[in-house]
Amino acid sequence: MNKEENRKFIKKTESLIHPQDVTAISFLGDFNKYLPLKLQNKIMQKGSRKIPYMGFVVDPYCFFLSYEIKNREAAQAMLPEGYELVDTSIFENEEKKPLVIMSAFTARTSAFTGFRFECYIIARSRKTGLVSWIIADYETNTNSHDPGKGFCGYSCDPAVFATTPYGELLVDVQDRVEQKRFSVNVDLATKPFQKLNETLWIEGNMSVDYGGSMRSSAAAPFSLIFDPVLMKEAIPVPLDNVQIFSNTFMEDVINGNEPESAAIFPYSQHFIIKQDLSEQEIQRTEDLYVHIEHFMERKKFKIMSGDDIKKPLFRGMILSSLINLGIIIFLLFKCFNG
Amino acid sequence: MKIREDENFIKQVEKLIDPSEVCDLYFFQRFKNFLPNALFKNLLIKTSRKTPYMGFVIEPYSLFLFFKLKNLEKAKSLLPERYELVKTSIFADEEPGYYHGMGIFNTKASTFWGTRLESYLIARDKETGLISWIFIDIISNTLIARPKEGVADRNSSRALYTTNSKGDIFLDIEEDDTGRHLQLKGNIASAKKRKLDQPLWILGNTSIAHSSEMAYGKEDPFAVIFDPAEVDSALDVPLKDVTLQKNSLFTDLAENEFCKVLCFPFAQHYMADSPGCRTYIKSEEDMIEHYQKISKRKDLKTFSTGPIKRMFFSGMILSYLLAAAFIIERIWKILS
Repeated sequence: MNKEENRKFIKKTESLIHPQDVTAISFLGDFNKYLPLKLQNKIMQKGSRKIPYMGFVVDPYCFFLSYEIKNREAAQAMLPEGYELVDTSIFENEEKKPLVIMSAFTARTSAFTGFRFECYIIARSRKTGLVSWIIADYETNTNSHDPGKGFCGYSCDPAVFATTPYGELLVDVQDRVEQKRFSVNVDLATKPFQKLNETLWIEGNMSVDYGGSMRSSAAAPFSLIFDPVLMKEAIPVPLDNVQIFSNTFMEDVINGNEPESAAIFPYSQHFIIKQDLSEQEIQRTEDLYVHIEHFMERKKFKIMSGDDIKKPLFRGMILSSLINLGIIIFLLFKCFNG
Repeated sequence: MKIREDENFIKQVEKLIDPSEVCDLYFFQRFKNFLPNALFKNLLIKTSRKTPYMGFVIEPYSLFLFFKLKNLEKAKSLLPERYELVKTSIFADEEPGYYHGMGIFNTKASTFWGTRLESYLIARDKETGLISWIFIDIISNTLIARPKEGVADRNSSRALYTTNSKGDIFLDIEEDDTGRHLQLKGNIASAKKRKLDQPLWILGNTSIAHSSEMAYGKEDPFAVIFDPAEVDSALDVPLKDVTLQKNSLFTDLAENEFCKVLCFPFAQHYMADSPGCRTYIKSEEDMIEHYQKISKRKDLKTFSTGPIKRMFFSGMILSYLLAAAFIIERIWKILS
């Protein structure tokens, strides 16, 4: 993609995100969590067929921290079926090792906005051969959905992700129930961009799956759609600039005080998620370009809207009021005529 | 005077922003049309008493554009009576001038999140002597706090401000009803940090008010509390790196082309007064005192839609109970 195409892609991705709809979806969608899990997954699948694209914008200063896997058995046990651990690295010039990567960011999407802290195990799919990001655990301060838990979210307090005027990034997240905590301060002192390991960042983002407690037979790997230029380079953060106060996530698999490498993406990153994408439809960088072109050409498709949830709710409320009113009129009629 | 420890304050501000409460407020705002304006406003003020401060975070890369004023009489006519137009510097080391400013940013707060384009005039409050930022316009794709309505609906469905991986910026904001439009693109990668004029950026932010039209006859200055380091310096973006593609905002008030562009690369954290509350700030030292107090507070609660929800659900339940009571009474009568 050239610069102009990239600009158009960014604008179109942003146009899929409306605060008015996101807030309605977050508010009303939260009621779905009371439904049985199978029904929740059906709602998601039905919605995905009707609404082809979801915009997903990761805000500036998205932070990644990698750890070498110390307990391979425990890590392997968290992977979904059909995956095996693979040696990898964040940057191109680093030694490749089996890794857990943790990421903290805020995002604006068509369905939610807020903070997310995600833990991934990097694995290779035996079926496709693709290096894959397996989401093994996550926390968020907003609404969410995953195949294992269904509609969920609001799992952490505090959920701080903030930059300061002194060029620091503060991240502080604690799970409300299990009390797992990730608390770090990062000095963002400017360093030149460095080339990323493209296999991990481009191929890996074409194959994302759920592991740990989020595994489900209903889940299938999905691909993000993005301009590969996003994943060419990032700013390396020297580990001396990462002050870890606490990291008790995935303690069976890694040593939270001994990270391998850290990276920052200083600007926004724009992705789309094609909701009706079939498995293995995107396997190569060229496939990304095809889907971007298709997205750019496609016009007048349905986008996520709060009205889709509001309308049935209001129809139900009006119907219930009309039934009430009908009964009252009927009884009044009976009363005056009997 | 410097704040030595800013982490607690930043965490306090972030703590006051709860996405689920923001979503709830936005949802209930849609029912505002069914309520008298004064009742909804009173509900908000009642809620605000329990939560006098609202957390307000301006996301990284907020952009400020300054245009030279060309019609001073028009500018003066927009100001409420207690304010007079003043010349100001934007950066610390330059000659003052009369400016129309625009702030464009993505923001999250205790009561909304989204993109905003704010337009300001710089004036002096004749009562307090403080230099002040006067809002003359707000275009946003999210809820807008206004003195008249309390909370107003969005006035723009096309409000884009974002960056890409090369440090390019894209801005495209249009007001739905009027078609007033600002569009630009640029790059901030080669912008250099430069010291800002401290009276404007520090004291000005402790005395903020609305134009006479927006204030609707009510003078309502308010303050934001923050670490002065937030506005110590900003990136001075070379004018050649930014291309203005469209500007139909205040063309009769100011020059059409901007004369200064600046960008704040990191997030800025503010505590703002909740609707109906007012923190009086006399000086920078006074603001720092407030800042320290807030940093130490352990009882700060976030804005909650609880009272609005209670009223909403009570109304629904009451209506069902009345209908049920009536139906039971009638059936009882018919049967007996």
